Amino acid sequence: MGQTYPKPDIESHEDTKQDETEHRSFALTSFVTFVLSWLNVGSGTYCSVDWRRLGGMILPQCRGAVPPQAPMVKLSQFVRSDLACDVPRASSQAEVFGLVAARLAEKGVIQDRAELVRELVRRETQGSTGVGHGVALPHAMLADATQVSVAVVRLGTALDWEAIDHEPVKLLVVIVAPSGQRDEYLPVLAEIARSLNQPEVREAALKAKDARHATQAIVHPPHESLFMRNRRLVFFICAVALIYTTAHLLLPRIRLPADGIYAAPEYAKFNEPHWLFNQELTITLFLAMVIGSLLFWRYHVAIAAVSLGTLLIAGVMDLETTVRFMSMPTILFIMSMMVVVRWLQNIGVFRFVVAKAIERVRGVPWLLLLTLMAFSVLLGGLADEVSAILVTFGLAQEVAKRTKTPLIPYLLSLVFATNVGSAITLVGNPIGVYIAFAGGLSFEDFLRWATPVSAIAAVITAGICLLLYRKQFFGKRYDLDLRVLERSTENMDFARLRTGIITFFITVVLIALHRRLEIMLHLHEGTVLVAIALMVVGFIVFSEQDKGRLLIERGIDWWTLVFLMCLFANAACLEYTGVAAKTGHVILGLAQQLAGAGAAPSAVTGAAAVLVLWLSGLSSGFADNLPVVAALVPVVKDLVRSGLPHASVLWWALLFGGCFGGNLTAIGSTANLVAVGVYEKAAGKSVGFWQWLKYGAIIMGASLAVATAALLLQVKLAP
Amino acid sequence: MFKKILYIVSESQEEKHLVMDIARSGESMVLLSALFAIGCDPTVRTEGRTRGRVVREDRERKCWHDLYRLEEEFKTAGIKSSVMAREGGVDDIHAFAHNTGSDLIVLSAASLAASNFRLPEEFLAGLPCPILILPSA
Repeated sequence: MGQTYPKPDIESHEDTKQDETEHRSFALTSFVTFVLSWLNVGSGTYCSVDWRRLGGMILPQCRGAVPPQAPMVKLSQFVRSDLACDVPRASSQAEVFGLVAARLAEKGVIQDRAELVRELVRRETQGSTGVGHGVALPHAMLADATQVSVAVVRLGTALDWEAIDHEPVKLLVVIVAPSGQRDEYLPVLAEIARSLNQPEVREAALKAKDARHATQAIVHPPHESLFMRNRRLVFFICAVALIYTTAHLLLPRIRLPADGIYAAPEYAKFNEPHWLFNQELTITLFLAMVIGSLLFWRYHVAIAAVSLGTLLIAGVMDLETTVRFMSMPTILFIMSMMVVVRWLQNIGVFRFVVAKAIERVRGVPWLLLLTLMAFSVLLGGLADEVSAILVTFGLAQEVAKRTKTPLIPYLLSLVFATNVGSAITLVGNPIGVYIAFAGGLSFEDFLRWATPVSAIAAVITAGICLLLYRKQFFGKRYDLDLRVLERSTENMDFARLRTGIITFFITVVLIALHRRLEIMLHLHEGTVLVAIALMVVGFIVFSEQDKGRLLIERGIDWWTLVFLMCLFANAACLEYTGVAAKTGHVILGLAQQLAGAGAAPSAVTGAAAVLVLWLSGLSSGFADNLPVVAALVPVVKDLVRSGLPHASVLWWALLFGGCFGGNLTAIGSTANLVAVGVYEKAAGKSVGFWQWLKYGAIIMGASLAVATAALLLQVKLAP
Repeated sequence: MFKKILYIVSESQEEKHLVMDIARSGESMVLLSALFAIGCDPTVRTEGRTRGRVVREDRERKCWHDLYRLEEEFKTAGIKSSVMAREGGVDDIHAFAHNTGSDLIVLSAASLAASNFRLPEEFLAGLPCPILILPSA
C-alpha cells in the first residue's frame, strides 16, 4: 500500500528562504510597476517586471532582465482582402490548398501553384497547423513568393485538421513568405496567432458572413471603449453612491419607537444624529463590500479588509469590539474542520466511499445520479460543501466523459443537492456554523429543526432533477467501465483509510453530543464544539508527524478565513450601529401587516419567519449567500432579543433561506462557484446565466416552499 | 515510446535538445506549448487600462513568435511539431495534457516560478501521463 499523502513537493527550506528574498524584491518591483502602470507612465520597456514570473514562457537565463520584444507588425500591410476566398465545399487539405494557391497565383503573390500546395501539405504532415477553436494557420516559405502575404480562407464545411483540440477547422489563415524573409515572416505569423487567440477576434472572424469580412475582423479587431472596459468600476461607483443616498434619505425616517419591544434604553440612541451617520456609513460600506466582492471577486478579501479598516478609522467601532465581532469561535471551528476535511480528502476517504457506491449502481443512469446526489447531500451536511461538490462532481465528470453524455445535468443536480444538504447539520456550511454560534444552537437543535426539512427538500430536489433531465437519465443503460473508478481507489493505503473513516465517525458523534457535554461539564455554549474540533486537529497533526505542518499550512484556506473574519466584523457592525434594529423594526412592521390586525403574536413571528426566509433566499441567489446571512444574523439576533415569541424559528428561516436560496444562480454559494470553475475547465465553456436560473428558480422555489410550510406548521413549537 | 510530447517551452537550449532527442528516438510528435500565467503579474491585473493591455499583448506576441521560431527548428530537424498557447497557470497543464492526449509532459522547473516553485499536491496525483521536470539552468 503506497502512501497517498503528501504528494511530492518541489521545495526545500533553502529554496523557501531564497524564495522569500526573491518574493520581497519581486513585491517591490511589482508595486513600482503597478504604480507606474496605474499612472500610465514609463518608458515602454517595463524593466521593473521580473520576467521570470510571466508565465509559461520563462527565460531562466535572463533572471530579472528584460527579454527582447517580438517585433510588432501592422497586419493590414500583409493581410489582403483581395486574397480572401470562400471554399463552400472541400474534401481534403490538398483541395483547399489548391484553391488558395490559385488565388495567390492569380494575384501575383506566387508563380508556382503546385510548389505552394506541396509545401503546405508537407508542413501539415510534419505536424498540424491547427491551433484549436476551429482555426488553422498553414504557413510556408517559397523561393518564388514576392512578398509576405496572408490569405483568409473560410470553409463552408468544417474539415478535420488533426488540430490539437480535435475540433474541425472552419477558418484558415494562410501565410506565404519569400525564402530568406524569416525575420518578417515570423512576426506576422506570431501576430496573427496572437490576434486569433483573442476570443472576441476569433469569434468575429468565424461568424463573419464571408472571407472578406473575416479578413476585416482580423485586421481591424473590435475595440472596447474606455467606458465599456471599465464598466464594472463605473457600476460599482454608481451603486455605492446610490446606496449612500438611499441610506441617507431612508434611515432618519425609520425611527425606533420608545415603547413595545424597542423600549429598552440601548435602542433609543439609534435615533440620534451621531448614530445616524454611523448607520449610513456602515450600511454603505457593507453593501459596497458585497457588491465589490461580486464584481471584483479576485479582490474580495482586499475589499472586505479596506471596508473594515474604514470603519475603524472613522471611529464607528473600537479595536476590541472589532476583534469580538470577528466571531473567533466560529473561525476556530471552521479552521479546524478545514484541516479535518483536507486530511480526509488526502487519505481519499470521500472518493473511496462514493466510488464504491457508484460501482454498485452498475450503469443505471438515474440511479447513478441519485447516488451522487445522495452523497452530495451527506458530504455537504457532514463534511463541507466545497469538498462534497469536488468529490461528487469529479466522479460525475469521469462518468460523463466515458458515457459521452452532457455534463450540465450532473453539474446542476449535484450543486443543488450540495446546497440543500449543507443545511442538514451545522458542520457543512460556514452559514450553519455562524448561525449556530450567533443563536446558541446546538447540533441536536439542527437535527430537530434543520435535518428533516433539508431531507425533504433534498428528496424533492432529486425528484425535480430527474424529471427535468428525464431524457438523459431514463430509458437507457450506460456501458460503463467501472474499473476506471476502481483503479482510482486501488492505490489507497487502507490502514490510513480505516483510521480516517473511524476518526470522521467519532468526530461527528462527539460534535453531535457537544451540547450534552457542555451541560455535563458546566461549560459555555459552543465550548465543546470548538474543543472537539481542535482536539481532532491535534490528533491528526500528531499522527501525521512531519507532514502535520504541511497539513496546517495548506489544509487551511487562510484566504477564506481572513475574508470571513472581516465579513463577520463588518456584519456585526450593522448590529452595533443600530442598522440591524431598524431593519428588524421594518421586518416586524411588514410581518404585522402580513399577519393582519389583531393576529396572535405567534402568527406575527410566523410571518416574520416567512419574510426572513424569502428575503434571505432571494438575496442569496443574487449575491453570495454568506454575506447575506452575515448581514441578516444581527437582524435576527435583534428580533430574538426584542422578545418576539417563538423567535428562535427565525434562525432556521435564515439558515434555509441562505442554503436553499444559494441555488438560484451560479453565484449563489461557494459550492456553485467552485463547481462552475471545474466545469469550465473540463468543458471549455461556461454556464449561461439563464441556463442556470431557469432550473435554479424551480429548485429554490420548491425547497423554500417546503421550508415555509415546515416553519409555519412548527412556529409554536419553537422556544 | 511516447507518441505525443507536451513540451511547455522555455528558452533553455539544453532542454530543447533533450526534447528533440526524446522525440527523435521515439518518433514522437511534440506539442510546443506556452501558458500565459495572467494572475501572477500585477501589471496585467490592470487589464482594462491601456498599459495593461499593451503589456499583455507584447507578452503574447513574443510567446507566439518564440513558439513558431522553435517550430521551425523542430521541423528543420525532422521532428513533427505543433504549437499552441493558452491562458492559464501550472494547474492548467493537467487539463492541457488531458485534452491533447499527451503521453509525456516536459516542464522546466523555472516554469514553476509563477507558483513559487511549488506544485499543487493534487497536480501530480491527477496527471494523465508521466511528467519530466527539468532543473532550471
